[in-house]
Amino acid sequence: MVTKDDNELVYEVIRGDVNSFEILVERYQKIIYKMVLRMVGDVETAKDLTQDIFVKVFEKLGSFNWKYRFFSWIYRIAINETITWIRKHPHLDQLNHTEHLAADEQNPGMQERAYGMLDSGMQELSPDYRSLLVLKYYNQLSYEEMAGINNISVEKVRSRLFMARENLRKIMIKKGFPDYE
Amino acid sequence: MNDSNFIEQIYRNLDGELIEPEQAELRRYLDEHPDAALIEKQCKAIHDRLMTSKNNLSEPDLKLEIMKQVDQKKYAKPADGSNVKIVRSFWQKPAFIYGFTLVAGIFIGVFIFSLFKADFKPNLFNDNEMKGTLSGQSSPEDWTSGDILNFQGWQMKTALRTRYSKSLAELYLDNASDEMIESTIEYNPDDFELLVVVNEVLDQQSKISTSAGQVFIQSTGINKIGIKLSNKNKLQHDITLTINRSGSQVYQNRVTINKQ
Repeated sequence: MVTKDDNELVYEVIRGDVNSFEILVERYQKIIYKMVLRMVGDVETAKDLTQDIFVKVFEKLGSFNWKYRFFSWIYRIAINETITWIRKHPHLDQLNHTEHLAADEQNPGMQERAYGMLDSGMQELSPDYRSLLVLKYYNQLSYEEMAGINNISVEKVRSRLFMARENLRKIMIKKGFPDYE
Repeated sequence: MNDSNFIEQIYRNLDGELIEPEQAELRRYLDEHPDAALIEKQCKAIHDRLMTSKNNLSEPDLKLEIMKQVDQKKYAKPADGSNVKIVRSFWQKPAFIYGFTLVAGIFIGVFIFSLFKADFKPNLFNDNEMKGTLSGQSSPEDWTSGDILNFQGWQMKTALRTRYSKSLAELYLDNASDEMIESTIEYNPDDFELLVVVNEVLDQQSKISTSAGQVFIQSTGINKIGIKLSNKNKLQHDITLTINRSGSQVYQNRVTINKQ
């Protein structure tokens, strides 16, 4: 079976073939969900937000700009939606995080404590910096891909990522990150 | 490396971006600076934790839920594809493309026209132009077009056109040459009297001199010279044109004025 590329599927969707959107959902739901979960720190919220993101993507497909890659476009929508959600629910974001995300981890004892602390530290970062670290570490995107998603230069990605990592390091010092000892 | 950029180098090293000499330099710096080595340890600890925690999350299948929520009929459309909106950048918009094409077309048209402009220009020697320059539009003379001489040599071109009435003769000499050429118009001073010589286009290096029975022109480039003579006895006479280049005669011919 020939694998259709993203833009081809987008074209088919806006030509009326809704099944092509199903393929796009299948292709991207996991990476978007994981990114959202890392950003908001709560499984149920991440599920809801991921669904909302895909519904929004579907609604906006008609105005998809063909000069962009679908990959960058859907990421951009997902990040914007998630950051908007975080800004609307700052307290919920902080409370839910350690509880739910840490529970998902399979690392016992000391390990679990370190991961939990790191997740908690991530939540103290601004959503913009957090999103960069999520894209870099959890979604393993290259600088070029991150630049495409954020519509900025690679150099700007590099400098913002540096700031994000430095902020996180300082937060972790304050928390007494066990790996430092 | 200095105190301000070593952290940047640490992160670049963690990302695998440093080449071997840079890594060695960083290692040396860290060995010499215990504080920097501590920061490196912290950066690496966070980096490693972030790298290893990436695949430990559950992956629920949300496809069914999503497909239930999307408006399945949104893009169900007539066959003409009218609901497909193509978003173009400014440079791709039809208005810009057509506008640009129009402007470019006009520009190219004007450019091409200017290249061939000389070919559209009425010949210097037609009767009307001669009236306007030497005898005037209101000249009462009854003009007759006379002989025309044309000569084309290596990198030079000459044309002499004439017209005359009973009492007047007009000659128009058109020279184009890369090198200096000498043109001599000779007539019998008993038959003609020189009234006027007009230099319409005369190259700066060119010059005209007159003497009894002779107009002598040294010219390079493109030159247009008008000569007006009075036919003293109103009879038929010849006028001779001679062209010399580099001291050698390259052309000689004559025109007849007031042919009977």
